[in-house]
Amino acid sequence: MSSRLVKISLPIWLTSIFGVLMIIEFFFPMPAEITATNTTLRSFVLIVSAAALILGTVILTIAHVRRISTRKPEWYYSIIYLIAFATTAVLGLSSVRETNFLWIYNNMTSPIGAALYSLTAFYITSAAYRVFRARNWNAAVLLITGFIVLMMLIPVGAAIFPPVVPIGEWIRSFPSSAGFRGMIIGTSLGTVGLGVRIYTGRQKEHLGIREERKEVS
Amino acid sequence: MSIVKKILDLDQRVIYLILFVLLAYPILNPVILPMAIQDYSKQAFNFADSIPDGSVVLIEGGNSAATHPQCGPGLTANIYHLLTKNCKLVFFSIGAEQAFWTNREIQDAINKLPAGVPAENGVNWVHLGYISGGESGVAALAANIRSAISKDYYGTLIDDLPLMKDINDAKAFSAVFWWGGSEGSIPYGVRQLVGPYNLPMSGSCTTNEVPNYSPYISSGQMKGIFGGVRGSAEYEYLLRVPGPALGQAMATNFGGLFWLVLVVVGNVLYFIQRGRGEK
Amino acid sequence: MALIIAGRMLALVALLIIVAAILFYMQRAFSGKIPSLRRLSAVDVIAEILGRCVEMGKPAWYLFGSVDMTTPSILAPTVAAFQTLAYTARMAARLGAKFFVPVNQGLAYTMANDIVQEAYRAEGKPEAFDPLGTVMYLPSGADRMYIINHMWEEQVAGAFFLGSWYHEAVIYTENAARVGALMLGGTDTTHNIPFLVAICDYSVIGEELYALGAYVSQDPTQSSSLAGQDIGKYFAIILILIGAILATAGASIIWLFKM
Repeated sequence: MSSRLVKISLPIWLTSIFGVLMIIEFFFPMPAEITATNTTLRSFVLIVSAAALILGTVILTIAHVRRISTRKPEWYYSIIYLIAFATTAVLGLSSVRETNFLWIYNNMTSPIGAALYSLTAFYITSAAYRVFRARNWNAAVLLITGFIVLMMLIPVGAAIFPPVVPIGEWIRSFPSSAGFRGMIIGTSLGTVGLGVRIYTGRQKEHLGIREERKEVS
Repeated sequence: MSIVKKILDLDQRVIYLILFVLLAYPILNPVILPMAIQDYSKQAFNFADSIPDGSVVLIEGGNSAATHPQCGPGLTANIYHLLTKNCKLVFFSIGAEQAFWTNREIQDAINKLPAGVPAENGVNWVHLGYISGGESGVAALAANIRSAISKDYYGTLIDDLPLMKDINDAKAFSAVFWWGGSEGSIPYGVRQLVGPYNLPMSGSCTTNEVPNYSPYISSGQMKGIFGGVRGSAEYEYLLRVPGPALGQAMATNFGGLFWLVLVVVGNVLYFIQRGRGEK
Repeated sequence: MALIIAGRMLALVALLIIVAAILFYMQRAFSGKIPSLRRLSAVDVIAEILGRCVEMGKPAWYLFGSVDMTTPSILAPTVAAFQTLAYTARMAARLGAKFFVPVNQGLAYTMANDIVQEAYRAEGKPEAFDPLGTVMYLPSGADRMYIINHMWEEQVAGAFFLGSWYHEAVIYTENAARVGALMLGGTDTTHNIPFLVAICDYSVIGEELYALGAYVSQDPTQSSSLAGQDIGKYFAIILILIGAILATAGASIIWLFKM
C-alpha cells in the first residue's frame, strides 16, 4: 500500500467514519447492531489509550539512551532516569501493590509531585510583589477584583471585612461566570471547528504531518 | 538606589522564607479561626445530604499526589458522608495515579467510620480503578460498564461483585460526584453523564478552577462545588468530622493575607516610585 | 419511536448550523475567497520582542506549555501555537535573533523542529539553526528546573508563552519577568488566562490565540473555520437574548431543552 494511503488517507477516513457514527448515535435512536459496534469501538479507544502510555515510555527511554550514547550535555541525568525506570518497572511488574513499589511511590514519587506543584505558591507570591501592578485601568480592575475574591476565599476574610463575602460571591457568580461562559462557548466552538477540520482531512497535525504554508510578512 | 527601589528589589528568597514559615506554622500547630461557609460549598453539601439513603452513587476520584493534600480530605469526607447514609458507592478514575489516590482516600474514610457503619468492598462500595481514554472512557463507562472494564482495582471480576449485579450503565446511578482535582475533567462528567443521562452532579476541583465551573453551577448542571482546601475544610466542618483540611485551610489564612499585603505594598511603592519619576 | 432522542434536538440544530457554516466558509476559502481577519496587535508585538532580543544580544524563548496531540482541548491551542511558531521563527531568522524552543512532548518536538528548521531555510540561514540546541526535547516534569535555571543563566530578553498553559504558566512567566524579559502570553485555558494577562507585557486571550495563528499562517482552513465559528457565536448570542427575554418575562423555556 502506498505510504500516503496508510499514513494519511486511511487514518483520516477511519476518524471521519467512526466519529460521525458516534455523533449519529448520540442524537438518533440506533439499531442494536450499531450501538454494539460503537460500544466495541469505545473499547478500542480504551485499549489504544492504555497502549499509548507504554509507547510514550518507550520513546522517552529511547531518547535518554540516545542522550547517553551521543554524550549530549548533562547526559549523566539520563542514567539516573534509566536506573529509576528499570527499578520501578521491575518492582511494579512483579506486583504493583507490594511494599517495595509502594514505598518508592509513597516516599519518592508522590512527594516530588506534590513539591513541584507547590512551587506555584511561591512563584505566585513573588509575582504578587514584583509583577502585579495597576499599570492601567484594566490592570487596576483585575487587581481590585482579585483582591476582593481572595479576601472572600480566605477563611478569616469575612471576619476582617464582612461585606467582602457577598461582593466576592456576586463577582464569582455573575460577571466572572458570564466571562467564563463566553470562554467556554468560544472554546467549544473551537473544538467543533477542530473536529470538522480533522474529519474533512484539512488538518493533519495530530498525525504528525504539517503542510507547507505561505506566511504573512 | 532609593529606599523604595531597594524594598521593591527585595530578594525573592526572603519572600519564599516568610511564606514557608506562615504556611508551615499553622499546619504544625493548628489554629482554628472562624470560617464562613461559601455558597457553592453549602449547595454541594446540601445536595450530598439530600441523596436518599441507600442510593447508588458514582464517584470519580481524580486527585493525584499534587492535589491530594487539598482535595483528598474532601473526598474522604464525601465517602464518609455517603457511607453513613448507607449509600452504595462505585468509584472510577481517569488517570492511573488518580486510581491509587482514590483507593487511599477510600481507606482513610473507612478508618474514620463509626462502628456499625457497613463498608464492605464489593457490597457497599466498588473501586473500578483506572479507565483509560479520557472523555471517551467516561462515555464508554456510562454506556456499558462491562465494555470499559472487566475487573475492579483489586483484580476481582466485576461479575463476582454483589454490588455490580444490576449495575451496567449510568442509568443505574442516582447521582455522581466528580472529584476532579486539577484534571480539568469536570466537563467530561457534565457532557457524558449530566447531559445524556440527566444525572445530578456535584464535585470538587482546585481553588483556581472554581470560576471555570461557575457557569455549570449557575445553569443547574452542577449542584455546587467544593473548591480546593477551603472546600474540603468546609465539608469537614459541616459534617462535624475534623480532618487535615481544616488545619491546612487555616494555613491559607496566613498565606493569603501575606499575598494581599505584598500586592498592596508592591503597588503603593510602585506608585510612589512613579510619582517621583523613578524607574 | 421518536426520530431524535428526547432532549437533544436543540443541540443537533446548533451542531448542524455550526458545521454547515464552517463547511460553507471552507468551500469559499478553497475557491479563493479567504475570510479576512483583522490584524491583531500581537503580530507587531512579535516583531518588537524579537527586535529587543537582537538589540540586547540575548535569546528569545518560545514555550508551548502542556502539549498533548491526542486531546482536542489541548490540540487546538497547540496547533495555533505551531502556526505562530512558524512566523516567529522566520522573523527570528530574518532579524538574526537567538531563538530557543523547549518542547515537552515527543511528537510536538519533531513538528516544532521541522517548523523552525524550515523557517531558517526559507530565510536562507540554515547554518544558524542548531539541530541540537535550537529546539530541545525536555520531558515533562524535568523541563521545569531546566527552563527556570537556563532562563537566569542566559538572561532571556524575550519570551513567548503560547499554547495550552496550566499551573506552570505562573512559574515560567514570573521567572521570565524577574529576568527582565519582554513577554507575549496566550492560552485558551480559562483559569490560567488571568495569570498570563497579569504577568505578561502583552497577551492574547482565548480565541485570539487561534486568530493569531490563522492570521500569521494565512491558512485558509483556519481562517474559514474561525469565520464559521463566528456564525456559531451569533447563534449563541441570539439564543441567549431570546432566553433572557423569555426568562425575564416569566415564560418557561424548559420545553425547548426537552424536545
